[in-house]
Amino acid sequence: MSLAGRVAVVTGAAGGIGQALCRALARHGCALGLLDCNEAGLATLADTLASAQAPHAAEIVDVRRRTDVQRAIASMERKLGPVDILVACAGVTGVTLVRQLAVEETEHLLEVNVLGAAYAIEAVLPGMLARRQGQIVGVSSLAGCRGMPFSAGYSASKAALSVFLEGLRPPLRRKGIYVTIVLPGHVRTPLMDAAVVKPPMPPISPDEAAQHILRAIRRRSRVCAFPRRTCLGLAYLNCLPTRLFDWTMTIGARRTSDVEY
Amino acid sequence: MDDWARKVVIVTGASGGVGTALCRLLASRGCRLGLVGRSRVALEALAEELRQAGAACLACETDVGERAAWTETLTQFEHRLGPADMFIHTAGRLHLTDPLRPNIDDLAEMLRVHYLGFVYAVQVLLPGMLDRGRGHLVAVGSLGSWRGLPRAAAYSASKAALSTYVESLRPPLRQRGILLTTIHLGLVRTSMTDGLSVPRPWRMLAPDDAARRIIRAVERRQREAAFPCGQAWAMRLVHKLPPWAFDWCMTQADRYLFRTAAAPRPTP
Ligand SMILES: NC(=O)c1ccc[n+]([C@@H]2O[C@H](COP(=O)([O-])OP(=O)(O)OC[C@H]3O[C@@H](n4cnc5c(N)ncnc54)[C@H](OP(=O)(O)O)[C@@H]3O)[C@@H](O)[C@H]2O)c1
Ligand SMILES: NC(=O)c1ccc[n+]([C@@H]2O[C@H](COP(=O)([O-])OP(=O)(O)OC[C@H]3O[C@@H](n4cnc5c(N)ncnc54)[C@H](OP(=O)(O)O)[C@@H]3O)[C@@H](O)[C@H]2O)c1
Repeated sequence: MSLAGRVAVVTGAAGGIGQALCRALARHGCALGLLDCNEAGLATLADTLASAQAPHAAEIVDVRRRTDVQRAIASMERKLGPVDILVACAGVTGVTLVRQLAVEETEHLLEVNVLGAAYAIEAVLPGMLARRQGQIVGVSSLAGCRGMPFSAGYSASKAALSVFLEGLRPPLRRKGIYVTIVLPGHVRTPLMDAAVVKPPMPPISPDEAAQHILRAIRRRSRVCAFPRRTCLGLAYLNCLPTRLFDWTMTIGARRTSDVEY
Repeated sequence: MDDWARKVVIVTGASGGVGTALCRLLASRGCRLGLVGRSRVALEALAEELRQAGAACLACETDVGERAAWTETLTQFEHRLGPADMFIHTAGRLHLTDPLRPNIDDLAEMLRVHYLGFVYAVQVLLPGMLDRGRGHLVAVGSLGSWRGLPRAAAYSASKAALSTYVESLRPPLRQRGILLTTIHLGLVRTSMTDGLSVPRPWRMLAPDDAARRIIRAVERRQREAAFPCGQAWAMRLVHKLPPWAFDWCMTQADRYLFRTAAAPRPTP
C-alpha cells in the first residue's frame, strides 16, 4: 500500500519508538497527527517535522482521558483530513515484585496500555467504518505473550491489548479495516531504563523497530513481531510444559537480574 | 491441600453457578468459608444453607472491583475466620462485544472484576501467606482467553490479563511455598451462559462437575488445568493457528454460529 498522502495518527508520538515511526511515516509522505503527554518531546518532534515540511498537527493529551482523546482526534481530522492509519503506541512499563506488588502502578498500566489504546480506537473506528477503509496498529509487546519475570502487571496489560485487538481483527477486516498487532522485543528507548532485567538479547534501535512497523503497515500484516531471535526464544518457551516454563523463568530471572526474584 | 478440615477458604462469585457449587463442595469437606458476591439475597441463602449443614461461614456482598471495600471485606474475613489458606477467584461477568462498536465501558468493567479483583486480593492476602510460607491462590480463567474471540473480544482480553498475571507471579511464589493455579474453564451451564447455544459436538459442563474438577486440580497442586477435555483440545489447536488461518476460522465460525441470530425469525 502506498503511504503518500495518508493521514496517520500516532499516540505516544514523543516516545522512542513513536518518534522514529513518525519520522519514517513523514518520509513516506504521510500527514501526521501526534498525540502524547510529553510536551517537550512533542515540540521537538513537531519541529523536526516542520523543518522537513511534513504536514502535521500535535496535541498534548493524556490517553487515559477518553473525552480528551476524542476531542484531540476530531480536531486533527479537521486539520488533516480523515484518519487512514491509527498507531496506538503510548505505553508505560512497570516492575512487579513479590514483596512489592505496586497495585497503583498495575492500575495505571491497565489504564494507559489497554484503555488508552481502546479509547483511541473508539475515536477513529466509526469514521473508518463509514469510509470502509482504514488501518489500526496496536503496539503491544512480546512480553504479553507469556507472563514474564518481574513484569506481572506489564505482561498482563499487554496480553489484554493483544487479545482484544485479535478479537476485533477478523470482523473488521471484512469491513475493509486492517488491524495490525505489533509485538516488539527489547528496543533501546527511555521505556527500557525502568527495567530491572538485563535483556537476554541485545536490544534493537528505535529506527529498526520503526522499519519493522512501517513494513507491516504497508503490507497490512496481521501481526508484526520482532526481532526474530526474541520471537524464536518465545516460540521455544511456548513449547515447554508449564513446569519447565516456570523453571526456565526462574533461572532466567536469576541470571539477568540482581533483584530478588 | 491434603487436609481440608478447618482450612480457611475465601471464594468470590459465591452467588454464581460455579461459585455456589464450589462452596458446597468445600463446606462438605469442613472448610471455613468466606463468601463474596454482589447479591445479598443469594449469598445469605447460601450461607444459611451451609451453616445448616454444619459449616462455618461468613458472607459479605462486595464489588471486587472496588479496591477499598474489597480490601476491607478481606481484612474482616481474615480477622473473623483466621488467616486465609486459599483464595478462589470465581467472580466474573460476560459482556459480549460488538466488534464494530466495541463498548469500552464493558472492557473496563470486566478488567476490573476479573483481573483487578484478583490483584487487590493478592495484595491483601499475600504478605500473610509469605510469612507463613504457605497458601494457595486460584484464578478461574477461561479457555476463551487463549485467543481473541471476536464476539467476546473484551471478555477474552480481561481473562488473558488474569492468567498472564498469575503466570508471571507463579514461579517466584512457588519457591516460597505459595501455589498458584489457573483454571481454564470451558462452557458451564450457569446464568452466564444462559441463552448461549453451543454447536453440536460440544456440551456444557454442569456446575457441580466443574467444581469437582477445580478442586481436583487444586488438590493435585496443578499449575494449570483446562477442561472439559474436548473444548480444551479444540482451543489448543486454535491457539496454534497462524493469524490468517485464525481469522479465517473465526469468520467461518461466526457465520455458522450466528447465522440464525442474524436471520429474522419467522413468527409462528
Ligand atoms: N522499548 C521497548 O523495549 C518496548 C518493547 C515492547 C513494547 N514496547 C511498547 O512500545 C510502545 C512505545 O514504547 P517506547 O519504547 O517508545 O516507550 P517510551 O519512549 O517511553 O514512549 C512512550 C510514550 O508514551 C507516552 N505516554 C505514556 N503515558 C501516556 C499517557 N497516559 N498519555 C499519553 N502519552 C503517554 C510517553 O510520554 P512520557 O515520556 O511523558 O511518559 C512517551 O512519550 C509502548 O506501548 C511500549 O509498551 C516497547
Ligand atoms: N459459565 C461458563 O461457561 C464459563 C466459562 C468460562 C469461564 N467462566 C468463568 O467462571 C466464573 C464463574 O462463572 P459462572 O458461570 O458461575 O457465572 P455466574 O453464575 O454469572 O456467576 C458469576 C459470579 O460472579 C459474581 N460477580 C460478578 N461481578 C462481581 C463483582 N463486581 N464483584 C463481586 N462479585 C461479582 C456474581 O455475583 P452476583 O450474581 O451476586 O452479581 C456471581 O456470583 C466466572 O469468572 C466466569 O468468567 C465461566
